[in-house]
Amino acid sequence: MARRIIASLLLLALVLVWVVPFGGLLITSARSTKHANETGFWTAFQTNEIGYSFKTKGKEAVERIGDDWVIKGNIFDERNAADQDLAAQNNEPKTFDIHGSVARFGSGAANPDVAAPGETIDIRDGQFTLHENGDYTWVFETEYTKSGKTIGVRVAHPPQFGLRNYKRAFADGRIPNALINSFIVTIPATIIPVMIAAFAAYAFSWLQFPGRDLLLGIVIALLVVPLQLAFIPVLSIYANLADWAGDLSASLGWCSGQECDYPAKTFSGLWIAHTAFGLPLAIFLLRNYIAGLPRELMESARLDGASHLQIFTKLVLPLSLPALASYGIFQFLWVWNDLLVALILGPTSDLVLPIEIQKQIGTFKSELERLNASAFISMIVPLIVFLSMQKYFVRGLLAGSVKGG
Amino acid sequence: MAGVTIENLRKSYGDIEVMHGVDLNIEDGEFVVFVGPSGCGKSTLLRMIAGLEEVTSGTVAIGDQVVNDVAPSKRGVAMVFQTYALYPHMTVFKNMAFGLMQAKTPEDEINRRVTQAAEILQITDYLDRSPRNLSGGQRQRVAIGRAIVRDPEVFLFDEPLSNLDAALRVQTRLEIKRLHERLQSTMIYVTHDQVEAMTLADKIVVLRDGYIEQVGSPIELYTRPANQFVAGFIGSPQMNFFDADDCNNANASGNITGVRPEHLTQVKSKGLISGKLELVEQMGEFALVHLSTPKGAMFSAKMPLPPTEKLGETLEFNANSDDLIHLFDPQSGLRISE
Repeated sequence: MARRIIASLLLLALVLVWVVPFGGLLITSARSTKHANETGFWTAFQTNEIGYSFKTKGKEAVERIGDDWVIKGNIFDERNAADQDLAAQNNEPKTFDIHGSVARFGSGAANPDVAAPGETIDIRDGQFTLHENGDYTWVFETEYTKSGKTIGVRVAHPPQFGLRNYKRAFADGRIPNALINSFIVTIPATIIPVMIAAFAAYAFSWLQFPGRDLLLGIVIALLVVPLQLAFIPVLSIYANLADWAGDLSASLGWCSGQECDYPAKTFSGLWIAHTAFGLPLAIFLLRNYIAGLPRELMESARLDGASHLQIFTKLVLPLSLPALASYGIFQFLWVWNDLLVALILGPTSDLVLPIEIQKQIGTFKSELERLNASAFISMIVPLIVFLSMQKYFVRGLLAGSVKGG
Repeated sequence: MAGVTIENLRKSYGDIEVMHGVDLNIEDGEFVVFVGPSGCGKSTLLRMIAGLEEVTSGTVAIGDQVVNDVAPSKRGVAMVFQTYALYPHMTVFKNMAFGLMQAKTPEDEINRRVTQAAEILQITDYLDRSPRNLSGGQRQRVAIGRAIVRDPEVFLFDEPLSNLDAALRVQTRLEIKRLHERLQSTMIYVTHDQVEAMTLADKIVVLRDGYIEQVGSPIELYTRPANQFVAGFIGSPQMNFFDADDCNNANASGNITGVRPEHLTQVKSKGLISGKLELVEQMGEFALVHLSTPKGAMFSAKMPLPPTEKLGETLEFNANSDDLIHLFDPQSGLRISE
């Protein structure tokens, strides 16, 4: 009983460790800059007091009412209208409207806590009254000839969410491009190693050939070779290859001058690199699974007249689907999230998502919510992949532990 | 239809020889059972006939053709495995049709043969199911059906009943027997269960450690076992063996005396063998009594009724007839013919 409770608590803790940051990211990415910067994501669902500075209207809005010169307006409406105009001018998506009620206000941005809504304070010899709904009146005895004044206001702002950050992320074209680049890299870099590894795993399990065990030993030994070790040699191979291909094309007259400078860092280079780095683990995992398929099945198929290739395609592939899928998920996640390999061996102009986001951290340092939107876009893809294939994933992990099925 | 001829067949794994020059002739249409304790090479022999194991030396011929280097699928054999070996991702129909599809058989021919086999085995209702939705007995029938549709010259069964429960085993055993009556094909059947061997076989081949100990009809093996191993292996409960100085057999002259428990009868006077009563197993139909000889060797006897004597008392037994007393050479274990 106690063990079960501990296990449940542990599970709960693990779930929280994953879900809380995820939720934080998602919530922050749907908030405005002001909200994201000033309050934590855990307060996003309650009304928060947030300090704003508003500019009132100035002399252009002065009206003569009775003996007085009066400026009237609504701080929220004016500000929202100005923000929308600015966004429209810059071709940016609609901004978050400020709404809510005035909690306190003061005569300058630095002292917003002077008066309560409905109270009147003295600003530039005028009687300034701010109501809860943002309406203000500013009454002078003599004609007012200056421009507006910045006042500090604490606004009790209700929760507010929107898709502005996502619209902005998509609008500038860099994130969608990176998204497409990531797919271009990831899909072949997942399918190629899985297919090669499946063939290899079958051969290592069910084919007799000289040196089989030695070869398998080498493959498994490659599991422990660190990735970083290969960067410089691989890069120099790619560079030499590009040079060589360029020279060859030039000598054949296929191109001339600058056209012959083929890039060394390409998508196909990334596919090859990810395939090579992924294969040892893929072969190791798939071999374990495929070697565990019942021998009688293969023998039965041989008696039925199936060749090795037919046994592989008609029997082993469909039966290994859970293992293929679970390794496929691993490889997909690893390639999708990879920054290092893509940075060193990938194309320098067509960036993948992790590199793009890494670059945006420099550009949009103060706009956490915008970075979060980009990050969430990059997270949602593996999440969809995982959730849609988790049935296979779980079955693949359990493979061999349960007989039959 | 074809017989199987095996000549001087040897099999080695590396330096270890596991089959030591086996010669065997199986007639067309015969039901042959390979029987022996585990590790005796009976499955290896069957798999060499199927082509799943390579022959180290010697020949395997099916009909008139030596098939040593013929692919398993071209030998005209079909095999039923202990674990059924059904393709889990295919329906019953596809399982049965797979071999025919590989052979590019026309579709209507496939349908005809699968339907016919399904009718023989009464699995017509399950043709669209997948193997995981079948019981053990049904799966084994599908496995047999898969063999039937290929219309082989030789059926090979590798302990097909071992994974079934006792009642189903008896029932399926009958069905296999009936199938043989109906198809009249050559069938080779591997088992370690001597009851299956006795009931099914036209001819039993007893193997031990890669040698054939004896080949013969079930009744031959029962009445005239060639050696002490066969005598002990065939028949249940096991035959009793007595040293020459442990029993009153005047003809023994230093040889081992063997008598089956069912051939011993209790007598009042001094008999062939005397034993101290150790244990009584009441079977209903008979009582199996376990006794120990003066030298302490254990033996058993089948009695129609439980003995009236108490445990520890001495009982006397005679063989029902002198024909039922077997003599074996103590060194070679070979039968001494009288």
